[in-house]
Amino acid sequence: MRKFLQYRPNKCMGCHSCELACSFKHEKEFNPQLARIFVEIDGSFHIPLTCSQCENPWCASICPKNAISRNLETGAMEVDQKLCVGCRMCTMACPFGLIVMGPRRIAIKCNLCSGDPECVKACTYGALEFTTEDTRILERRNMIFQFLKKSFFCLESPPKSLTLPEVKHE
Amino acid sequence: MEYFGYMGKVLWVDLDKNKVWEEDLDRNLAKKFVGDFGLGAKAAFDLIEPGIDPLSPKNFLILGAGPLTGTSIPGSSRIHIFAKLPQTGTIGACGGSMGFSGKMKYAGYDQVIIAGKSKKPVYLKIDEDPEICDASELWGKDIFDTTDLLWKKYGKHYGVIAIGQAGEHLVKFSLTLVDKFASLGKGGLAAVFGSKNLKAIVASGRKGVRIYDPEGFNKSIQEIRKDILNYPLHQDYVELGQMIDWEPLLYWMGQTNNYRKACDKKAVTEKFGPEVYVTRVKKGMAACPSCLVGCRHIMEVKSGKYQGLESYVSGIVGRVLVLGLRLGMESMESIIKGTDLVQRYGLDSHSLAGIVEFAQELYERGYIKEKDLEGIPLVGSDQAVISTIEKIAFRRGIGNVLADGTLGIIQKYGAETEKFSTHIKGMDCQMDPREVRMSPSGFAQVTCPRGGESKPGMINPAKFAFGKPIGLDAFEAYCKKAAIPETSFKKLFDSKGQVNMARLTRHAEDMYMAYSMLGICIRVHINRFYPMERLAKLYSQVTGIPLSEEGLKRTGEMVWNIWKACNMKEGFCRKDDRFPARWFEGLIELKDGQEKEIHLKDYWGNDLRAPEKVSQFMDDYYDERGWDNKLGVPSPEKLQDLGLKEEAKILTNLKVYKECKKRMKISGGGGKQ
Repeated sequence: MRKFLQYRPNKCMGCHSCELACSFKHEKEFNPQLARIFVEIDGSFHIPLTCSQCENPWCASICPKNAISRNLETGAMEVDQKLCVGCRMCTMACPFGLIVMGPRRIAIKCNLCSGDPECVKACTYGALEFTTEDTRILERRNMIFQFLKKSFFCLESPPKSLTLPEVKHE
Repeated sequence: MEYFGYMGKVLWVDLDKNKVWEEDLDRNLAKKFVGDFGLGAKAAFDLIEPGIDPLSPKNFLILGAGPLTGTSIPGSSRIHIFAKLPQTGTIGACGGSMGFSGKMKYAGYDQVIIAGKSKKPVYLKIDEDPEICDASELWGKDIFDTTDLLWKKYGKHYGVIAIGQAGEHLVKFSLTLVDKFASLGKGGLAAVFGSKNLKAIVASGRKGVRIYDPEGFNKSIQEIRKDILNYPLHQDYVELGQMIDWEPLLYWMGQTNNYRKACDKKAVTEKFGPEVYVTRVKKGMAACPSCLVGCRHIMEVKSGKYQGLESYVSGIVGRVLVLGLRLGMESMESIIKGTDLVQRYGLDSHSLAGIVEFAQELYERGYIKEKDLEGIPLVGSDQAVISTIEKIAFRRGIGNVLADGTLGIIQKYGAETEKFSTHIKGMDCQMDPREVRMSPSGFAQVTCPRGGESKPGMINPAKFAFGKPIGLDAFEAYCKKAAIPETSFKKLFDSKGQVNMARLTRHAEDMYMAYSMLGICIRVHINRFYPMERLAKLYSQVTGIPLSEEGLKRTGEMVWNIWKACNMKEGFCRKDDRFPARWFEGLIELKDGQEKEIHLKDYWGNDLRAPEKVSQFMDDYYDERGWDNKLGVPSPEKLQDLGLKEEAKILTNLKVYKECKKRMKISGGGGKQ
């Protein structure tokens, strides 16, 4: 089963370790501007962002040279460095802004490090996970389950006040 | 030429001529002096003319980022700025962290040297195309607003150092903030920025930091990460930051009424302790680039008058103790408001407390008159403290006097007021050694060339031991960590087998130098994972320049000496390394309804108040350093021995030693204190 990267923004501290690890792996130097992952910060809110490896990728659809294709093993969309001509169409097409121009004037994007992402290894706060299932969804579903369990239990002995749980958007 | 670790360029900025140019980094110099602190100290020695006014165009700002900065080594994002500081008149190295240092390197520069004075407000942009830009729209704005505007203009990937209104008004204890979080510039660095009409510096770039031995480096990083994550208190640190050290810090910095009374620890903890912080105002934490221990605080006020206020600070404990305990703000929420103001205007909170408490005592003693205060007391309530902070930052009323720092106040109200202050070389000290006894952390304030700051002595085994004997095991482990050679062991222990804290201070300082040269964080939750051996190894792996741990220690010693030499040129000698008069008075502690006096003692419980005892203490330190005992400075021979032949010659030519001798004689003490 394919694995994918999931973020937990409430755990991110904005330390940029993922960016540093990414650039060191792919460019052999520490240079956050050449990383394939981007830490966005606003006050107390930090979030690491990288390519979601879309099922219907706009970057690949628009590429006139068919340079972007899926690695069937890892599920990552990869740029063929020999085919890419640096026309920037993909960078325009990506609705998330997560494919960018690299130092050799060809497009660079996350390729999941052949199935063992460096950024996940570098993140010690647990803001990045590489999993097969979206545990965030499971957690949220479990939360609502607990609430329902409590509520139905309460129906038999009605509570004094019934309050909705605080939904945390992760 | 190929550089690893270093970027290989120095950016020169002449604000007089509105000119920016770059020069190659002298590889031999970088090899000899190692990193930002060493190169900065050398540049300060060469560039800053003795005796200049710190706020004149002749002063320099020397920014430096170390060879390890910008990489993924945890806690390696420190920056140091050398300048002659207005609060003390010393040549000081101001240190701070957050993103700027790395970004300066990505722009391609190891060092940025700023000279002259601009005619109108400007900020400096450092990237592929460095330029001096007009800052007339930013002038008058506070640090948070300035940083936000610059981020809006250039993007969040730029690192920002900015000054606030306090710096613009040349307040002598104003400081700058890096990326809205990290304070940088104890001693009045922001006033130096202000005097040059320099509002901010922004940096970013697309150059990379290259590693000489990537494989070995990767291995080292894995080891360090494992050590940090496996440390039992790691999670607590990430949760609480410096708040974790609340209890010991109450003994270190919890003295009130201008260092006359010890605080009631229990009552203070109930009112402002970690629990109150976590439940009432904590919003989150943030980390410096590459750090696994995010210890920067983000606070939010959830109720009351200041509801909705969000603020950022690098260490909340100091602010709570300063604003709440010492100046008397009433609640945790109002402390956040006070912190926000101190951060926005850019003031050094420890100096603020020292100066305001000193002024309050002068008011009680009748030096400062009722009419000077314009009806608002200096301390004691939210309104009073906020008004005092504002008066100082904008130099209004009595604030204009306080803004000149302790030395300014003493000059105004007469030399006899000096005995009520707790300054060392003009800088209000951070920690009181009376409750915790004299250990390197307290003593380092006396010997630090910049002034009364305890940071250089912080890495020592006695830090939180409070007079308890240190086990031989712990001590041996420390000696190994600090790379103290076995030949020094004999002198480190006295006849009773007790550790000589004055002598130990020297080794703590050397270790501090090693961290600072390489840009590694000095906070305890990072430094504990970096023994000298590991630092030397990392340095070699990153730069490709072989260096042993002994070599690193020796270089650290040399850099400390050249930093001292910078200050010798300014006339600082043994006379200035003195204990504040207040330390010799009793600290009043209320215990079970009884007033008890706590006196200054050395670490092992012996009374340290007699002049000859203090003199002996100082002698021991200078002896361990190998310095001239009478003058309290390194002799020309010592400097030559360390490989500073040219510098020794310059000092002799400048008649620095003659000047020192003259000063020591005038003081009449001739070696006392």
